[in-house]
Amino acid sequence: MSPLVPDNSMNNTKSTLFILRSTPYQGHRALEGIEAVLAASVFEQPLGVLFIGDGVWQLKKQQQAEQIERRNLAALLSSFPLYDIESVYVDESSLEGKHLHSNDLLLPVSTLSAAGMAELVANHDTVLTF
Amino acid sequence: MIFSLVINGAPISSEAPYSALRFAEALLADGHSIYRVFFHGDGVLNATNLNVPPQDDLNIQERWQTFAEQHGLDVVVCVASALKRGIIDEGEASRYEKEHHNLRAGMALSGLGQLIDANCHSDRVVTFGA
Amino acid sequence: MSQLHTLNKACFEHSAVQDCLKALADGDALILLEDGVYLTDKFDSALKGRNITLHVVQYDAAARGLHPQNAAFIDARQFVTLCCEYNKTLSWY
Repeated sequence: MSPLVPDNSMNNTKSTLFILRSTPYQGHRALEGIEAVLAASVFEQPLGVLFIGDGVWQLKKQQQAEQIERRNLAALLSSFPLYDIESVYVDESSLEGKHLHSNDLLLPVSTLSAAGMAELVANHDTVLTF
Repeated sequence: MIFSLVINGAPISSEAPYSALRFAEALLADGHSIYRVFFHGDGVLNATNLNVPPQDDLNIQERWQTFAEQHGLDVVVCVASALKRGIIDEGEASRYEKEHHNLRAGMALSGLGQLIDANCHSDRVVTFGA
Repeated sequence: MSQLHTLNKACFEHSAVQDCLKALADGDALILLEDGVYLTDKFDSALKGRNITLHVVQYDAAARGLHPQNAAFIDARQFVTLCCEYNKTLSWY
């Protein structure tokens, strides 16, 4: 099975691709997106996560959210493996556009080209954008 | 088809709730059904009953409440998004020792599990955001 | 498999627009709604030569005094129909 295809073998499940495209600390949109991802995982739904555009900033290492008295999103994101969330993808052009490399990121991710993203989207039943 | 709608945009500062309402009205008129309307993020502000709209202007909060009542819709307001934004029902007001509550009748505070559930039980999930 | 996209931003440089452009694939359709209708002409050009259908929500365009020539206007019911025709909808906002 292609790694881009979620496991829908459980009954009454829909696979959801969460597209996270917000910067981490401009309001709560990024936080609420991550919470939705974690909820889907807790309810054992097949899911994928794609970071695109400004969303790649959520993955930046060395965030010090306490400097603005905010909850550190990095801690939440780092818990993805504990929730068995392993299908984490990043749009490669978004990384390049922001001069970021994989070793700047706090999670292991798979980078995708436009064609890869199209395949990822096609392989999920629902897409939710945050 | 069975639809669920996710509304992430606030009233007044976005058009999301109005666009969603026009969409919802059309889909029911066309013989489709709505499994759930889920207000999330800033969208929970559509659930307040304390708004006083300018005269001759849209009261989108009231429009949604009336529409939901007319059609017996399941309208869920994400509790985590709601509490932090001051949208609160009687039970939470009592729990957190708040003097007042403001959740519109016919709407219910509940968790992200309701969004996941809606996804499982709907043919289409459409998001209106800001 | 083709997807349906919706977009509601007026500024072409907005991240929602740029992210949408990255995600659009041949065979997809795009609905401009709310302030997104201001980008009708820009998208007409941007999508030339690509097999991507552009739709514009009529009441959002009319409200804003926009009457683009050759726009494929849709009303709310046609919006619903498009959501049924495509397997899923990606909302860019």
